[in-house]
Formats: sequence, C-alpha cells, structure tokens
Amino acid sequence: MGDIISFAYQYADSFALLALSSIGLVIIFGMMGVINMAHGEFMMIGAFGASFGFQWGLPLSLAIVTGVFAATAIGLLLERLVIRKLYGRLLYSLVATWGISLVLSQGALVLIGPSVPSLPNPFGTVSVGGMNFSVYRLFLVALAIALIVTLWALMRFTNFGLHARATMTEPDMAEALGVRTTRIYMVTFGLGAALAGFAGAIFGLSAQIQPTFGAAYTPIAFIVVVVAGSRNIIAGLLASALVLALVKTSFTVGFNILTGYVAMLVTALIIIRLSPTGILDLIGKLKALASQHRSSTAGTSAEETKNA
Amino acid sequence: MLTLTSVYAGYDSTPVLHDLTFEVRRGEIAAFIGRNGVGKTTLARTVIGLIKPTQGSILFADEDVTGQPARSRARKGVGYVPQGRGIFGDLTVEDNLKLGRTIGPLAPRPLEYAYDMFPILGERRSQIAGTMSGGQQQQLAIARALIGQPDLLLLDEPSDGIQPNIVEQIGELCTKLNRDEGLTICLIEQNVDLITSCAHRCLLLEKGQITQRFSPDKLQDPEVARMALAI
Repeated sequence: MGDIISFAYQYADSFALLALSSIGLVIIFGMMGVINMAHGEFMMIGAFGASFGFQWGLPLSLAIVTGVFAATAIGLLLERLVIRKLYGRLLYSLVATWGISLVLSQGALVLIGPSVPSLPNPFGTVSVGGMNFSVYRLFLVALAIALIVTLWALMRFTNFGLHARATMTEPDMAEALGVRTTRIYMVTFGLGAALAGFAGAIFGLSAQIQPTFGAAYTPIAFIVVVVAGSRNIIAGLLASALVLALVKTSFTVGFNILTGYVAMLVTALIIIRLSPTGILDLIGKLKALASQHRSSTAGTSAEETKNA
Repeated sequence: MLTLTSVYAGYDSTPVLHDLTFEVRRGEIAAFIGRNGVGKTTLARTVIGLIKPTQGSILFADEDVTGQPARSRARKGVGYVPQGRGIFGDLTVEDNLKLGRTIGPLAPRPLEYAYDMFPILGERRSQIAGTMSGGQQQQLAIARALIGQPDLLLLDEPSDGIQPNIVEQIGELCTKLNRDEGLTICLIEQNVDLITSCAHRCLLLEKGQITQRFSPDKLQDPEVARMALAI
C-alpha cells in the first residue's frame, strides 16, 4: 500500500513538473507556431521578479505576482518589437528567440549577477500512514490542474478564447470577420509569457535562482509540447504530461532518475514517430484499431457460430 | 455604398486588377461576372481588405477605407463570404456563428436568427463545422456574415460545389434580404440561374477591369452567357 501511495505521489509530482514547465510554451508554440527558445528565460524573469519583489518587502504572493508581471511585460514588448514580424516563419522565429534567450540570460548575468536571493518556501510536510510528503509538491500538483482547467475554460467559454482559436487556424478569415488578430496574437503571446513567468516564480521557491534558471526546464517543456501536438492544445498537454510522467516515474522508481529522463525522451520519440501530429492523433488511431479489432473479432465469432 | 476608383491590386509581383472602377448603389444586388482567372476573387479580397491596392481608392458608405485593414471594414459593415466558404472546420457551428458578431457597427442579431433562416444549423449547432456537407457549410458561412447585421454582403461564388436546391435557396434569401432589409449585395458568381434569380445588374470583369454593364436578362442569350461566364 505504501509503495502505491509513494508511486502515486511521485507520479503526480512528475506530472506537475511537466505540466507547469510547458504550459506557457504550449500557448506560444502549440497555438501560435512560434518556436520560443526564450521560454526558459521567461521562467527565469518570473523567478527574478519574484525574488526582487520579496526583497522589496512584498508578501510572497505579491512577489510572485511581480514576477508574473515582469515576464508578461517583457513578453509583450518582445512580441511587438520582434515576434510580430515572424509569424508563420518557423525557422526565423527559432533563430530570433534563441538570440533573445541568449541576450536575456547573459544580460541578467551582466546586470544582476550570477544569482539572486532565493525565495522562502513556506510549505512544510504532511504525514500520511507514516510517510512524509512535501506540501509544496502537492501544491504544485493542485496548481498544475487548476491552471489547465482555467486555460481550458478561457479558451472554451470566453470571446477571447473563441477569437484566439479562430485566429490561430484561419487568420485571414478571422480578420475578415472583424477579429482584431494583431491584438489576439499579442495577448496570446503575453499569456504564454505570463504562464512561463508564473511557473518560474513558483519553481523559484525550491530552486536556486540564477540567469540559467530556465535552461533546466526548456528541454522538458519542448518534449511535452511536441508530444502534445497542436490540434487541441489543452487536451494534448494533459495527455502528453500524463503519459510522459507515467513513463518517467516508472523508470525512475525501477532504476534511477537519469533512466527516467531517458525513458521519457525515448517515449516521446516513439510517439512522434508513430504520430507526428501529436499524442491525441495517436490515441485516435489506437481507438480506431481497437474498434476495428473488436468488429473483426465479432465477425469471426458470428461466422463460427453460423458454421457450428 | 461601395465605390472603387482606378484600383490596381494583385499578389506580390502579379498584378490582377488594372484600373478597376465601379460603383454599387445602396440597396442594389450587383453581380460581378467573368471567366475564370479574370480577377473576381481578387476583387472580393480587395474590397474586404485582405489585399491592399497599390493604387486607387475604395469608398464604403462615403468613407475612404483604402488604407484600412479587413477587420475595420468588417466592423464598419462589410459581411464577407469567401470562395471555399472560410468555415473554421475545428469549431462548432455555434462558435462559427458567434464569430460573425464582430461584423457591423450595430448590435449583433441573436443566433436564433441564423437558426430560423437555416433550420439545419439549429439542429447541428453543436456539430464540428468541418464535418458538415458543402451546402451546409455555405449556409453557415452566409448566416455567420448576416449575424452581424452588415450593410453590404460580399458573396464570392456561393454556388461553387453546392447542390442546386441550396443554390436556389441562396437566390431566394438574397432577394428577401434585399427587399425586406435593404441589404446591398455584391454577388461574384458564374451560375446563370442564381444571377438571374436575384441580381439587378451585371458587371462584366475582363482582365482585371469592368468592361460592360448589362441587365441579368441578357445572360439568357447563349452568346452573351458564353462570353461572360465559364461555360
């Protein structure tokens, strides 16, 4: 029983790490098609902003809000100055955002220094059945679920969500219907930057905050987002994070943490190989195969009954 | 209602419209006809603002909209139904209709307006639009443009790939909207039956210019129809 609880805890923790690392990127890359190599730097700005806010005497919650504002402001500024000119030009956006990521991380190193004071972690531990669990880790799980649900509701039930979905699929037609597509692009990019900044600030509660802070999360985020695909980014993100976290946790528990990461990467490669458009299409294909198998089995049984 | 004066427009290095000049009066149904490749769709995309003219001016409701983007023209009251319908295939019928609410300066009509006009859309309001037939998608595209109460409806080949009964229905709808609500319609079309059923005037487009203006009745003459349409 203890092993099952321990595994479930580690699985939920891995899911939260994958979902929170990638939720900003899923908006910018999954929805807008911009390969945002500066995703980790938006996370770093969120963490730096939160650290500065806390040093200025703000309560921790407001310090985190400061980090989110900082990442959003820089995201909006970059969208207006650079990214706006690169929509629909995948490789240009990759090179430009890579350049931005270098400028941001090296700029932070030169202007601020190699590290800033860490944020305090106000969460303790909780004991269940003789096992101790970090409340912070459980909080991350709840936060990841809350953010995914909020994002889904935003896209599903609001005018912004409707206009964003229309703009991302048929920008010309959306424009011809009166949708302010340039504003939608800007707000969507800002939202992606804000979510990255938020994740950075939250991760900053348990990690050392330095200019290369985001580099640890960017590869994970890209793996999750590529596996998620762009057909339905929220469902894709959920499925991708759930499956990859299961693989990562299983191999980490069975072997070690390095094997867990390698297994996750190999799984991602297999999924992309089988279904380049993402995990949802793979699930669709598997469902179709299963239903085909069921109907052929039913047909064979009927034939056998008839012959008998 | 709509005046184009000496408009030149096209795609990058390929000019399509040359010195295009015409006027569509308020309350008129004007059919723009011409063979394939003469610039009919370019004309529609230039009027809505998806193609920027290199020269000339476009006036809509006495306002110069030449430099304005498509969203501004739509918000001023141009409802656009593109060739190929322009449906958002991953969204539901209802979400597609909701997207028409940004058209026009007036408060949008309730979605029931669309469902009364085309009951099939009401029955399928939760269906993903891309899974509907071509005719149903065309009905959706027209209803979506009308939700926002446009002053000008721009229809680009609405009969393209559509079964005859729906084409007939579109003709009747154009006549009704024009008669009852005074809606001005630019109908870019090659279907003789649709043109003659509702248009007040034909403008013949040849090599990116309006070369003739005549009554739709003239299309009954096979010689004129052969000259003006891709038949």
